[in-house]
Amino acid sequence: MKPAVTPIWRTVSGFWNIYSRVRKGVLGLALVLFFFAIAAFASYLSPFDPTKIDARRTWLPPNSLNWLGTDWFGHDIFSQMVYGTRVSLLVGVFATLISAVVGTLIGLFGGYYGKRFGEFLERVIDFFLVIPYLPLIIVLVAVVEAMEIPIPVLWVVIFVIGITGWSGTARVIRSQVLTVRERQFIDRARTAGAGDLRILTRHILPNVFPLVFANAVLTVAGAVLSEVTLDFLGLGDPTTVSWGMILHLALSNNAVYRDAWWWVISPGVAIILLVMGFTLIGYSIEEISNPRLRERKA
Amino acid sequence: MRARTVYLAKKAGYAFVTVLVVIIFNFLLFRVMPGDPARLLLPRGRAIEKSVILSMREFYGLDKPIATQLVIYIVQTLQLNFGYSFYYKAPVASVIAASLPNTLVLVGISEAISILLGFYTGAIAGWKRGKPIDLISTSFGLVFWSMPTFWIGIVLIMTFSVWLGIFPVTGVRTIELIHASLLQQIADMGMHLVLPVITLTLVSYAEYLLIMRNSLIDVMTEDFVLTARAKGLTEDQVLKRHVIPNALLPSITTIALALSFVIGGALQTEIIFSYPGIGMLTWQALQFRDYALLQGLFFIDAVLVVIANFAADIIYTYIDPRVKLQ
Amino acid sequence: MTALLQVNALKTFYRADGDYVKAVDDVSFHVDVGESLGLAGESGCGKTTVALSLMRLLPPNASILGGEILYDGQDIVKMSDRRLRRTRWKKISIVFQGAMNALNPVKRIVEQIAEPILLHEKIAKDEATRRAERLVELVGIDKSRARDYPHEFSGGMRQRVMIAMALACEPRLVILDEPTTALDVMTKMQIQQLVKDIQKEMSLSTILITHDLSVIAETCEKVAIMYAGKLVEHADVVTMFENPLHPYTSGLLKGFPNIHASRELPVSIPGSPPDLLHPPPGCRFAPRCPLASKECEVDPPGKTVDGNRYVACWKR
Repeated sequence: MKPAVTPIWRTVSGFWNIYSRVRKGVLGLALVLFFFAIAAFASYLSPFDPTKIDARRTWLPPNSLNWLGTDWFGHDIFSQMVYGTRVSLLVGVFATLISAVVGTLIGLFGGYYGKRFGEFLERVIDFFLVIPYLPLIIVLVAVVEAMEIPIPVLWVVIFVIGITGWSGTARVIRSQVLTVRERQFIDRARTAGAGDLRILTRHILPNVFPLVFANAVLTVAGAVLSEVTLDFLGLGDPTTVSWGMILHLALSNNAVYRDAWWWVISPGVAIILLVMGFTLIGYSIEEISNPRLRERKA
Repeated sequence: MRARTVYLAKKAGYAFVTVLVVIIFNFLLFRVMPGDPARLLLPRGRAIEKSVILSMREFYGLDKPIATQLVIYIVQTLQLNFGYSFYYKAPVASVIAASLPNTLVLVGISEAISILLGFYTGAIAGWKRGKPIDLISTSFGLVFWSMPTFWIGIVLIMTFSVWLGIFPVTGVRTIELIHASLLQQIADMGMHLVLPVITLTLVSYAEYLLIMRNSLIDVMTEDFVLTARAKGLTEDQVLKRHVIPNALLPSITTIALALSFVIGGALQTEIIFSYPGIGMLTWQALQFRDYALLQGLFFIDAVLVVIANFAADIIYTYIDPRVKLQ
Repeated sequence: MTALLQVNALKTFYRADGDYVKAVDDVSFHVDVGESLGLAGESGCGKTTVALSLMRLLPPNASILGGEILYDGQDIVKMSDRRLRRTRWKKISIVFQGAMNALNPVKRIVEQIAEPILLHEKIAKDEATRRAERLVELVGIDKSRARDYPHEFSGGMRQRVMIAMALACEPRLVILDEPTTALDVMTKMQIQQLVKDIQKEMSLSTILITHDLSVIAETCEKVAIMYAGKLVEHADVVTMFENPLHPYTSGLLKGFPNIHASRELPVSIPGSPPDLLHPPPGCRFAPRCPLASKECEVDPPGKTVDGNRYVACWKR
């Protein structure tokens, strides 16, 4: 007999009850959903093919045909922006999947196993935290490109951002695991004969999970920024349409001196809104799961 | 006293190990790329004399076993011998040394302003949490944090240099002034620094604001703050004597960690403004695939952050009485 | 003779979800000069809220909505902020649970003890430091440890530091909020003895807040019992323990195993305390009270019995 209201629905609506109270969380969610919608319906929303060149309509500021203007080759910037959303979301989410999984695993093991293994992992985390982020990414992408592996550049970018972005998550998870580990119910579980794996998955992970989730969302924000920066530096895929690429082309074609403000402003604003969206969601989840951060409304 | 020395020696040890791992990482990176490593260090698309390739091989000891190569490489790097930059036709070390001071000036000034501004606004935002000033400051911070650094630079150039014509666009000084007085030179350099510093400051300050705000909120809920109030201190006294000293401590360690991202920000800023620092150098090394230079730069970047972290550790032992010097 | 502290009809509510949590609802009691009062009740009954109200140290989502707190004839509730700051610590001070972070981790304890002295009196720093050191010795800590930091002390010693700090400005009333709850039995006894000694020596009035009646039995002269935001009984210790009037008090006392009595299981009061967001109309203990009847649907007013006792129950 299936219950009328399934447990999943109850959890989701319960969560929404709490989440909807945090104003910034709702705003963040609205922004992110907005961009997801654009990405999903890109083909319906963009009036032109983003790669279509029109030599007669170059360097045009926003007009009735090209809502965001055109670039040096006549591409319609609005269409480019719409399709570019897909790349940003794709890279952001997938790179974060890698970072979040790696970071959580390392954080879990690093916090749970004390003494040598745990401390060793702590050193590893600290090491990665110290390495300068952008230079590392640049060096990695440059080297991987030189290796001429037949993987599309997009996935190289995803991979590199993913394996360099885990240290923040790992550090946060690790300190949380350290706190949870000391709690009594862990001892009780152990006395009852629970093995390490069981304790980790059944007891520690659920307690740590909200933090994992909050951190993952914040990581997406960082990943989007990294992706944009890589594209801008010319390390991304030159054939894909992405916001970073738009800016890269803008700068290479002297948009600045030609005062083509429309070419520069739109991608920037979109980036800001998307990153802000994820950041707001991440902070809201953090606030909800950490009672101390909650505001005591006067 | 002695305990502190031991503690710092241990930290210095870790720092050294980190640097060593970076060197090994650099070493391995090279070997992973296809083709003759010696050939890779030379300009592509051109025929190179055999003798040049041979001297490269000798320099890196490429005929010897890998373990020996590694040792040679480590020793060379520690002696600050990073090889030869084919693009600049000079030893990598001297190329970097020429540009490094510019970056240090840019980063130094920007970070000093960011930290002061960020901590100040962050403390107020945290203390008056939930009130309009908090929401406004934090929103501002959030917006700037979400901007790519290079984009801020572009917008600033477009506004102030192109549109309004106030600040010079590129470089760090005007060539013609090379014979002008020192004061004029400094003023000129200052003018060149304004926009890059603003760019770098805007992104960093947001991070420090958030760090301080969170730290402050954590401290605000502690019992000793209630005790301080119970003693009859004014809110201002509670903030200055009890809350801020405790909120400042964890913030300092986070500053050092943030530095690994600041390097990236400086990189973008220098590229946009054609500012002749090591960021600009990285850009050029990337464009021309000058791997020797790229490696040297990566090493220096890492060393800078390691030094900064170590400095933070030292400072921390002096200001936090709870640090266990064991 | 007027009491040192007179609390009349105190109402302190917390705001939550657009409604009020009636944490302290129409509470009245007094404390005489040199008297030690124990304020007892289970968790959530409002005793800590009473303590915080006395010094107006409530969090932003709580406020005093009615009543008066008369100290030396002046109403603390209506005091200006300036006067309030001058009253704090100098006239009334408070000792929190020292096991937690009630001491500033980055300041030496002698500085923390001297701080209120320097704040409220016009004396030189050396003099204040000397007085602080004497207080450190008074509570049984060696003077050489005065310049140590809080984390270098054990829980029991931190509690002593808190006590020394509370006495810095020689107040006439000291509130102690669960001072020994987190300590082991030996340290508990030491601290209790310390408090008793100091109280006698300095003719202090104290309000000791705790859920542990045995502590009150050992250290206090008078005791007041709170339940669900209301004060239900107030009498001197011996009388109340021998002959409790309020059904809740009897219930509490029955919950203590007695070595000398016959072998009976201690009886716990059935049910649980009411939700203070929507407390029941009428007597708040009625749902769990064995003596409840129709008249308990109206909140019983407190009345004085036998000259010196106070009880809020229709049945007495």
